[in-house]
Amino acid sequence: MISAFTYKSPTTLKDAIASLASEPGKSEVLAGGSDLLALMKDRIATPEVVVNIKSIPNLSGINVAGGKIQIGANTTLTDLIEHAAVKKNLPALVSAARDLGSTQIRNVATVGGNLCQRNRDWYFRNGLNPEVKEELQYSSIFPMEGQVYVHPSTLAPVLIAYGASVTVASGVDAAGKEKTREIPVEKLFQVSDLKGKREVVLAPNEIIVSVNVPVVDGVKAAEIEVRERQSHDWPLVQAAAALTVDASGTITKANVVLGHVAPVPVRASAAEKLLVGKKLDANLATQAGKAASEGAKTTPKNEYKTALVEVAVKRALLGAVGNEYWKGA
Amino acid sequence: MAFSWPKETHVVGKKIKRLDGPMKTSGRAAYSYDIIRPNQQFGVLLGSPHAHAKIKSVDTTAAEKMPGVSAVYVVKKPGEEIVYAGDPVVAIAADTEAHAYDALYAIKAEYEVLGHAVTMAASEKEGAPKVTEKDDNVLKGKAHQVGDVDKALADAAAKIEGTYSLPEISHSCLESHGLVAEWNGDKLRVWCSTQATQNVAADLAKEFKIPATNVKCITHYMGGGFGSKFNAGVEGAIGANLAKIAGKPVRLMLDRREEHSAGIRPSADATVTAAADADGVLVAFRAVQKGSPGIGSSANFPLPYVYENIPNIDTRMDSVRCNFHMTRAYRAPGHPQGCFVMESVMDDLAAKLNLDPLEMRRKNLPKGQIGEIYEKELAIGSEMFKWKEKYHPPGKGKAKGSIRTGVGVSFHKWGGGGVPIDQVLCEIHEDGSVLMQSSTQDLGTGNRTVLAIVAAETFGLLPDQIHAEVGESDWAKSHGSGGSTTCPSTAPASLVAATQARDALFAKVAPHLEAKPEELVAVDGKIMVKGTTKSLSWVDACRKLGGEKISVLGKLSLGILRDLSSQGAGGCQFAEVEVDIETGEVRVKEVVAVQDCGLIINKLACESQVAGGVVMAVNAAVLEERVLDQATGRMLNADMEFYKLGMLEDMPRIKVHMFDDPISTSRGVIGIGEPPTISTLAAIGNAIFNATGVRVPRAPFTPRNVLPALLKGGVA
Repeated sequence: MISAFTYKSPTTLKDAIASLASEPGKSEVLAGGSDLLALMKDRIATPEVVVNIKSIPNLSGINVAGGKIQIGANTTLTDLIEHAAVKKNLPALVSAARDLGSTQIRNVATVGGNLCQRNRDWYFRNGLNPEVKEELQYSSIFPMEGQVYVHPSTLAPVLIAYGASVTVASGVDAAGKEKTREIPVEKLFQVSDLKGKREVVLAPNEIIVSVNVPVVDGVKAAEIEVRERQSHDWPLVQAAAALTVDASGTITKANVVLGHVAPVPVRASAAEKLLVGKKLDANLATQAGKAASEGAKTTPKNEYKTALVEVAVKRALLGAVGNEYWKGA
Repeated sequence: MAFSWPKETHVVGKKIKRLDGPMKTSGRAAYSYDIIRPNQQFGVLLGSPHAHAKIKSVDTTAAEKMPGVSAVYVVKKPGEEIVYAGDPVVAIAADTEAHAYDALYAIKAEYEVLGHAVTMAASEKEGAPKVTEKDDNVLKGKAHQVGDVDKALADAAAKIEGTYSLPEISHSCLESHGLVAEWNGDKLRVWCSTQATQNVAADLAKEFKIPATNVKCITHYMGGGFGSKFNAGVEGAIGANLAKIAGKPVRLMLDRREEHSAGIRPSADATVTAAADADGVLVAFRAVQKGSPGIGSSANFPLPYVYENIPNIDTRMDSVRCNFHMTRAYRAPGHPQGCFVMESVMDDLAAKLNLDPLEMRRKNLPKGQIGEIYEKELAIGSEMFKWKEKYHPPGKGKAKGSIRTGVGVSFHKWGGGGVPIDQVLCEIHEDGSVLMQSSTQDLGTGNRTVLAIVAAETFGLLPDQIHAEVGESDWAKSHGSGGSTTCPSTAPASLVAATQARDALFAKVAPHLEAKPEELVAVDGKIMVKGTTKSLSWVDACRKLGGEKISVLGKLSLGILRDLSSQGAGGCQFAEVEVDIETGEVRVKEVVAVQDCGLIINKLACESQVAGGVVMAVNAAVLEERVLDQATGRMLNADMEFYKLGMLEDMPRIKVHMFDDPISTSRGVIGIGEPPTISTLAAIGNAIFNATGVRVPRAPFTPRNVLPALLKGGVA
């Protein structure tokens, strides 16, 4: 049950930033609330101040201009999925967003919130931190800094593959205007210590304003999730691929990003290196999948995820060029 | 007086919509959760964070002074043993939920932490901590031996060995356990989510040492029990204690974490060696079985199952106790576990002998009446499912991309006879209105409508002309809704009550129709003289009661029940799955269920029951597993996010056939609650085997269990 807190609902970005504390955990940003409220009910988050940012105009909506699709941080996943330019240009992002949560969650959850959500690790969510963690069936196969949770965002790997960045409002300048900075989505994440250090590099009083995705002609992308449930579930493993292919069919640029295998979304660099300069076929995709899974550190409970990485990467690559072989189509 | 079901019916056995359907679908039905009494307080529980401990001290002084707190009840006193994580230690009632939780966080409890074991492996280990002060960790069962298994194995044409296992799973009742309790002097009234109003009342009378007549349990509507709500339980006693201390009504409903932790279906594990002759007839069956009942005493599951006529048998069952809440009965206790093991063995043997699984079943199904029922069900089910077109030898089906399709079958059995305890009150009023009333409860099965259907049949009326009431413990006697015994008890008791009431009405009306009572019939809303056109409408006939009302308490005896109900339902199910052999993802595409339940009272409700049973077991097959952390003993997936239940997208097409052959219906009413949930998991397991040629020995059939089996089998 939620402990008492002060609720603020500023109407300007400036006031919102001013309402947030600079120390971690003292205040929280409320957008869709689909993650925050659950954290508060379980007393994993016990903020003194909750700052609603939904009353701030211009934080939601999608603009297409200058070769970029700019997605307001407060845009709901439902609005994202239904946007014509997003559907046309960012099919892999639509695929990830459409498979996320349930209709009710997609109607309230926001794009900014999806990037800032906290991890779903059982131990973290139960407020437990035993010396030996045995139940790692959904956990990281690339642990980092001693952490075994996986990053939950399924939009992040796709956004990284598309080369997206976020615009962040961070403080106010001397003229009283909010300052912003731009962070590539790839650099947005860090390994949380499950205490003050969050899963994102943002300061506690920074707010994501928008997500900016470049639209590049000839980029072919796909996203694959292996799941237990068709409805409302987290992937066991996710792979996103965005390929730039020249007229001869040669891959000139390959972005391959994995989700749900590490405490941050991770680039499969070995796979990317293998792909560039070659023409994609089933054999190359299989090799790339193997390369992506190399170096996994598993336990008997999550060993199966290594094999899933191989398959997911292979499918994301072939799927990007329209070869959905696994469906037998 | 002898009673019998009518040969020709106008309501019984038809598809009748539930009388309370509109109440439920419109949200007007008040469940325990919806009850709000004047000054009602919110009750909450502080559970132990340790799986095994002794209370050193409990300090509630700060909590008592917190705003809004109206009752503090220490459940476990210093020195008392805690035997599972979540074991209630202190309960609080306060004017708001927030105040109650704030006070809960202010309680200081100190524990002497003892060693625990929450898995069978940990509990069985040499030198394992004792899970409770009483009893050993492993409760050894008696061996059951027939013939000479070793000799039969040595001589057999085909032999298999395998270990098959199922995890612990949770009931996940839509409405959690709990109640609203209200005292008036030494009289206690509770609105309890229960499948046994009379047990709850009796339990609470005992708890407070007050006469049974002083306790009333009301359960007009409840949101599922599946075997987990037969008694007041620890939550019921605590809720009533809080209300007594507070001097105000208290609502204590478990939250989802507590519901998941309050008794589950035991795990099951069987290492089997079995053999068949060249024709596929089973000749030997050996099983070393175990399961964990938590801190309870039995995790038994039946083996061999359905195909029990085996000349050489050697089985033994141990229950391995662990530090979690003792298991509570779960829909068809033991049967889904036994069924999964047995049916897996059947298909593994059939594969060795290159036999069609249906052929294998035909060779081994029991003989006699139930055997005939099974044979006919097999014929109907395989036709509906198109088994002949779909079946292929294991792993030899056509590939579509990385998808392999497979089919499986399973048979099950259940008892489900009536219990001669139940009574139903039938009243006919002068204005023609009819009351059918019993303390029995509607577990979600349509029991209220059963009373109305039988009355309507007897009176020549329609079910919505009957006012049926269930769910108050001081009404006509009933028993707990378990073992699929409710309808086979309440339907006969309703028939007795309605028949006697009708005959009383005939006696009153006969002179007005210038006939003898035995010449009268009640049909089409009229009381008629047989073979004539002389009649009175139902209402006009009732007017002849002249200020009286007919009031009959229908009672059962063993003799009456023998004529109106039977034991022993049989059923079979067919499943079709798609397995992605690269990922181990399993999608259940179709389930065909053919189910016998003797005489059908409400075909629509029966079909719903069967579909519901299938849905529940599809979840158990492909998703569910209760996970306890070994280090802390706490449940890690005690929510609906990671305790996964399927939604519409995860469900197969479900085709239900209610078996209504006279061979079955002539036996009277048999319960249908449990049987349809028994076979599904086994049939799905066999369909995966058929799709891939690889046995996945452990459910749930998620990539974590399926993919390693496929890799090992060289398929993935």
